[in-house]
Amino acid sequence: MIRAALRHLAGLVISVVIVLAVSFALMHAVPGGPFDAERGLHPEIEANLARAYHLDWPVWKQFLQYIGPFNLGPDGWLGTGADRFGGVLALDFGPSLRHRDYDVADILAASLPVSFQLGALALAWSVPLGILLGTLAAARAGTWLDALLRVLTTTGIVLPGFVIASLSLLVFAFAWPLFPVAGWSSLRHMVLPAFALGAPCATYVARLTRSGVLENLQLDFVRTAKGKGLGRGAVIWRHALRSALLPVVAYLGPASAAILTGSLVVEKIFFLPGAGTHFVNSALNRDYTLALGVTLVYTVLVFCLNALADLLASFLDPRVGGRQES
Amino acid sequence: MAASIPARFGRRLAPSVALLGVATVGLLVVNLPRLERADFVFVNGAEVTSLDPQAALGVPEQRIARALFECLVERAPDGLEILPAAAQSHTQSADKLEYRFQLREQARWSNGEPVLASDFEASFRRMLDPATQSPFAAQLDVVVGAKAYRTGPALAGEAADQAWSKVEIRASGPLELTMRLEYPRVDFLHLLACPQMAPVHVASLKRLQQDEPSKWRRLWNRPEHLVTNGAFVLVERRLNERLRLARSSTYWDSANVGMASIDALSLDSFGTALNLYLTGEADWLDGNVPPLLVPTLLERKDYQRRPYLGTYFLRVNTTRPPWNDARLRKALSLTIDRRSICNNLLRAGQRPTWSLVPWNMLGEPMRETDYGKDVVEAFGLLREAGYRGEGAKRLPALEIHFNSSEVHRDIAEAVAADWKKTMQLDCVLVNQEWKVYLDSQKRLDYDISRSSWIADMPDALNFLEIMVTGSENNRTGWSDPEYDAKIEAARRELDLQARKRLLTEALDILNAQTPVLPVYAYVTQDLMRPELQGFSTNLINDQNPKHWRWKSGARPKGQRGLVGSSTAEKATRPPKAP
Repeated sequence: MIRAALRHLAGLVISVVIVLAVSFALMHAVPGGPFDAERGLHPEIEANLARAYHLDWPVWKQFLQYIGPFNLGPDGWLGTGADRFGGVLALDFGPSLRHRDYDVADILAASLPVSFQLGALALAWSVPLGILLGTLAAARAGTWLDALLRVLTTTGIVLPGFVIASLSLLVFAFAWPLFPVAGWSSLRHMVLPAFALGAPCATYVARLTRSGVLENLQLDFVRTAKGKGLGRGAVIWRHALRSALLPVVAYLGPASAAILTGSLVVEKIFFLPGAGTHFVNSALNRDYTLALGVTLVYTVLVFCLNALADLLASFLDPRVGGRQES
Repeated sequence: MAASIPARFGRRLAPSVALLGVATVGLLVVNLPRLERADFVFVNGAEVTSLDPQAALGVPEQRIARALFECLVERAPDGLEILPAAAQSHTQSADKLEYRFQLREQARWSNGEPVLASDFEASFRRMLDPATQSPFAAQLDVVVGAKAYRTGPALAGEAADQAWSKVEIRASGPLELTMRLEYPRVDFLHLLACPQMAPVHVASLKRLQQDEPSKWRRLWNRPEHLVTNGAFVLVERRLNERLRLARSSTYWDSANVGMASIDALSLDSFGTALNLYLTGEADWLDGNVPPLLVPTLLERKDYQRRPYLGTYFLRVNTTRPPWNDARLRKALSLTIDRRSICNNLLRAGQRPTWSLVPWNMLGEPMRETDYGKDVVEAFGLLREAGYRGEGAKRLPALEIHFNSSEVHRDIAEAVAADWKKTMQLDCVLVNQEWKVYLDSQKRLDYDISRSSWIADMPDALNFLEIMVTGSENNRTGWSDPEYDAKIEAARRELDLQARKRLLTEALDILNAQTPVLPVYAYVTQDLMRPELQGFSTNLINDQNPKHWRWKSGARPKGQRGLVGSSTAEKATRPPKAP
């Protein structure tokens, strides 16, 4: 058990370093820099800025400085004294190049909780509802209910997030003013964004569940269960559904990582100070450190949630769990 | 199936337990910080880069700097006159080289300490220090010794004091600041009124740097550490959400500050901002209204437009033949149907302009517009250059660069269509991401590149200066020694009439040479509660939040939905020449 955990951890560290190295190289290969603006800077001032953020160093040296755990001194190789340690491996993600009054760690600490709250809320309604609707559709396959649900889920998948968000605003904030249009200061402010964020997830889960359950209903073990004389409800909910959830769980690993880290569109429309904005804007602003910071968080989150999804899958289907032990 | 009872139990319940877990965690971290609505809420655009006034790069930063800090002098609401601010008076020597500012005895920093001349000296020194990396340091080059200090090495201790002693910015008394210039400048006080010339409390900053050598940069601009001398203090700062400001009790003129609290929202999506305004959550928003919305907004009384000192223009890469020929560049300019762009695409009252200096600032007569005549004139120029008539050469295809935005694409398409129609010139539209676009413009890797310039002082020089040889804002490869000489002479000219003449002559050179193709002059577009008073309507849209107040003393209760609408004011009027 401990060995497995250690193996996972080593895998995580290696993936993180590789992801960071590739992202770092890509970011620096793109034209334009963090201090380019419509209004040009005097060359001496530009040089001062570049020096302050080590942008005048060769890229490999900048990367070593960024990764750490040792600071590179201005002339020598290693820093001294209190400044000896720095970089990601010393848990220092550096200052943001766009938000000059903040460190990357501050920005993540301020924005991730907002995204987590909203994401958790979105998952909390969308996953159960999706499973419920998917199972219902499978149980009533071929009826009007199935057709209706199919139309609904297809609409949910094809509609982009900003359309769902704008439509929900139009209906529930303007036509029928139940909720505030934007902002982040009460539970009421969260309802529409959580709806807009969770809707695509709910519909996707519903479709996955429906096809899984339908498939299982044809299988021998379900026929056996029916033969035992179990009721239709029990057959579907207790037997067919459980293994039908495997693809849902596999989907939820990466999907919840995406939902928990926020979405630019939803955050922009509802004016939320979440982390999703940083994923896009840090790249646009050439805010190298912040872009790498959010990449790091996302990598770790995907890794952990995938591990969690594996664990869940082994609970749902012992054959999946058995694979690890053998 | 030899699973134990607990395992079975787990399997069945695992999904729901996991979901419940996620939900509980979600609700547990619900720790919503409540903030009562501020007296006045406005949409400030993108999150400010920094609260450091010496780094106040854009409009959002400058508005906040105005609220938190006070310069030696300030601009009157009309934007033209200079009024006393942190300095209650000032005197100039007869040769106009030396300025003496008398500070106010009753002025206090937000920590209660008096605002002293030494604070201003330390603050200007910090601005010029290469280690501060202030993007505005070069603006003080006119001060004796300033350029040498800012371009010199970053020094410390006695050597730094030694170097600073050569810069003529000096606290000549506890409340008297003296500055000496290399040459007289008529706009020096206007420069000092810019928000980036505001003082910071260097003593507390230095203390913080000592106590927290690695963290001071992110601690300094927090409410608990930031010491300010302006009408407002920082109460709360939420990244990408809002800045909460409150009336400063230590400000010398606090009795005349209209708003008890102000929220500046960090929001750059016009749609969301409009939603907040329509539901009474915001009281003022400005900025670029998407042209599609303009006709709808024109129905509203509270949608106001005024001339704004900004020019939308296209840069021509003058290093690429055949565009190094001024006649061809002039032909490009003449064949742009600006009126159609303003009337059909933009529609908010933007004014066609043939000059980089917008709104006839130099008092030149309005240009007669006859597109048909212009095209004929362009044909003449083309013929002269050998690109029209018998055995004409063919103009090579042009690439028009613009940064990703609907409006820029529409304008580029319109311009390309005009050129195709009149000169059979083929254009390729190249849409670039913002930083890529800036990079290719900087490296002169373009044929035509969309551009704009917004003045930070109400002065034609501010526009013309960008085109001098070697300016980091020239970016066309164009250079004309005669033009440079006129600009340099205008910089030093004290007589306003002579100065205007020099600038007009420079503008004539620029118009004849056409390294840039001006398209239209900007308008401000504000949506604002009619009950707001003290809002400045100057040409550079320079607001001083100190003067904002509600007509009845308190914010009128929230109106939802559309505020009374009537016929809109039609075209905006041109301003009086400053």
